[in-house]
Amino acid sequence: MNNHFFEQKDCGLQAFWSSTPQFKTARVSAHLVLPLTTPENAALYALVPNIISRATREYPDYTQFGKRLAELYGASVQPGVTRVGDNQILTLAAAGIANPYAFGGEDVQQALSEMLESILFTPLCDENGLFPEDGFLQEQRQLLETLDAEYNDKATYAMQRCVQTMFAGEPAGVPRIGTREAILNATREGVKAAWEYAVKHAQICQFTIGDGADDRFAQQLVKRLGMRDAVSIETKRHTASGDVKRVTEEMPVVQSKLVMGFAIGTTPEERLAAKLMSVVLGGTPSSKLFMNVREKQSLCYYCAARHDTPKNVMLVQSGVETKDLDRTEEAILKELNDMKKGNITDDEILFAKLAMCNSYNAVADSAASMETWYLSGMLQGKLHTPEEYAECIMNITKDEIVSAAERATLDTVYKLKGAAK
Amino acid sequence: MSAEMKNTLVESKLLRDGYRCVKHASGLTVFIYPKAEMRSTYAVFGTRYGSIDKVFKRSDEDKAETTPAGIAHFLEHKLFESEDGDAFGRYAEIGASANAYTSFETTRYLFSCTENAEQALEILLDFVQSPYFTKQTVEKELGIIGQEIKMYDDDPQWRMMFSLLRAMYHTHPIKDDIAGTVESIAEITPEYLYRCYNTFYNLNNMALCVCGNCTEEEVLALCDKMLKKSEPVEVERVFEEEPDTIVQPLVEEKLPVACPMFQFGVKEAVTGAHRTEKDLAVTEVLLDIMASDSSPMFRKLLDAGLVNEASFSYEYFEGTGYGALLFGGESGNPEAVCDAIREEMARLKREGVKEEDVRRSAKSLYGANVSGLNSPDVIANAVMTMHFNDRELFRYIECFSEITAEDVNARIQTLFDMDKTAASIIRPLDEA
Repeated sequence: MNNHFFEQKDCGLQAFWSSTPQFKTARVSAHLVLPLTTPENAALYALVPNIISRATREYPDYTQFGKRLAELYGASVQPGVTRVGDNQILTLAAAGIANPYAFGGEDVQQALSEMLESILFTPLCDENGLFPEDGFLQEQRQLLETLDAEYNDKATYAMQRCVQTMFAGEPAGVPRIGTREAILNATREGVKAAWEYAVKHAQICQFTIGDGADDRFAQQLVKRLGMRDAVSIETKRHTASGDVKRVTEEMPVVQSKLVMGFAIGTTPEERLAAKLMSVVLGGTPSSKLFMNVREKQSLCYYCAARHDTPKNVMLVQSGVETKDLDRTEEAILKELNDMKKGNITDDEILFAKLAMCNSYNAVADSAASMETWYLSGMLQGKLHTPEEYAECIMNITKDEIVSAAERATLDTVYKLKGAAK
Repeated sequence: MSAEMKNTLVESKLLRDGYRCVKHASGLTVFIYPKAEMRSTYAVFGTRYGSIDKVFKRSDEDKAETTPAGIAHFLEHKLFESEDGDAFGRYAEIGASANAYTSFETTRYLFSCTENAEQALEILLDFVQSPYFTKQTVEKELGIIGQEIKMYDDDPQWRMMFSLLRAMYHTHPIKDDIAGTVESIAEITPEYLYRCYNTFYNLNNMALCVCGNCTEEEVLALCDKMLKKSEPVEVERVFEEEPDTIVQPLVEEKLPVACPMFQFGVKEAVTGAHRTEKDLAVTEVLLDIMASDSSPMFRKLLDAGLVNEASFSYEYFEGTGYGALLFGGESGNPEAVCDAIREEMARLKREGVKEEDVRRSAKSLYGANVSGLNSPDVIANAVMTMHFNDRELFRYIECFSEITAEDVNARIQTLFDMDKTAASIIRPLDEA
């Protein structure tokens, strides 16, 4: 495996490429990172990746473009919108099989790189210089339906409600695709301006990973972008606000959902200790929550904790009987309080460490994990290898874990309460 | 190596890959698929025993036996426990990540790790061969699985899927929830669990696939050490006869969802034999031509605002004694989508497909399958699924280059029967 990285500060670009015959695919992607501001702006930006990737100047018809991708052995152009910390990330990726598997001898990778460049820099426009109206309306409707789909999945919905309550008033509290109203109010002019702004000012993280990957696309980006002022994408860590924010919603569901958000007052240097603390609490089948809340008390099927590093918060989620909502909340707090008191066994710590090292060591085995890993490093302003993290994790002491647990403060409790139908 | 082993190398020049298939002396079929550059090892140990196996007959007994719905899944949960702790704890000690799942037709136990692969494999082979069920441990599991069942009760996709299966199947147990119901699992006893274990966890009914960072010698040496020879008992799956009709054309339900959702099925007449690699590939090409992003039907539905790209999906859903084409998604007007699918079926039946469409879809599906060969978990599970259905993975992927319009058109004529379509629709609570 051959990993390469470069940063071109004067054009706001970081690029990573890695070539290995281990993968039978190759993927080229660009993540455009912008600070979240308002639901209105979030909606406009969220529309951009979908609209510009549905057809190109070369293949202006949606179906013809789809056929072209099918011809390239089922290649795909993948738009995406995510939130990391206080930022919105617009992703455009083109992925397909690596050239050695193209039995017709086509240069799939070159074709995909050209396609991605065309989508990013010279998207299809009508005679007024706007993105075509049919595509705009299609994507506006589909983005509204994405909101509906998120409501349909109750675990996702409950998690989002907790996160948005916890981060209210902060950029991270802005929904990553905006609100229904903001999406409805979006205009073609607004989306075009959003695209122009993103290309001019977003921080760009670019990846080429797969068999035969190289830096050609990254070099092409440097030329395309030129010198530019890219926005600052720092994320402010969340701090507890004092009173616990409590939101309870009733819905005719069979199983109630509980999501608890904790502010972790650790320093950036202690981020791995905070992460390890959350894994000891509820990150594996040998964690305290799994062993006690699920296995001993049979309260739930899942009860898990995860650490959101950029915001430095921990989220604990579970699905339980409505009558057990309060009891589960207490049971979760009891496990955390035990940790604060230092009631953690050596095995609990070792097993959590080994589980984390296992996932770090497996990063290089998956192209998607590699991209997620190094993107996270780029966003934090410093790249580490997974192996470096594995080494650091093994050196964290029990005192450091207890100290991280001591600074965990309950911040928000969201309950989706099942009501009899 | 033991003397009785049958040993085959399966290779593909096109896919630049190869794996070993060994029939071990114990009765187990073992697949070893090394990936030299990988740090991870992934292993899956599975049995041909799933939720549809409620009624079975052993070759060494006279009578068939009936067991409660959800027992295969219950057994999967309980097998992790032994007298002196659970397998999760043993995996945790060596940093391996473990899981298990039960489907309609199989139960599988798996792990992935980047260190201590031999120990992890030893744990896997050991705990799956060491059942330990008591009244107490069975009772404890009722609460956990009860919550798992209730979690799925709130999953509109899951609900809709089983409503559709009940609308299509009269008797086949495919229509029962994999985990059973809160009532059916209450009937489960340690005796039932032992009985099912001893019947279906016979190594002749099982397979192991190890993929990634592994060698043939290591895997086979561990098999020699760990596997207990099984008596050659065969299990017959017993099903009531499934009529060649649907139960009802439409089922509707209301749930707390924000938009209506639909699932549409075309039931296939099923014969006894498993479908071949080519049967599968031809049907997938047909589905791709009919419903992929670049199909005329999808374009029409999209332009009419009736479906969205994120949720519209289709699959060939097939197994022992059942088979159906399934289409699903979110839609403001589910009936209109179902009508459009029926219209497209009628058009294809009338006009057939073109050679260029077959070639393009086959190329696209070949690419999708090649991409899957990146991941040891995808590979190992695909090898297992193919094996349990008497198929072979590379043969299946290579098949896509052989498919002709004639193959697809023949399939259309046997499969597209308007009297065998059914729809399941979920609507929001407040919809009139």
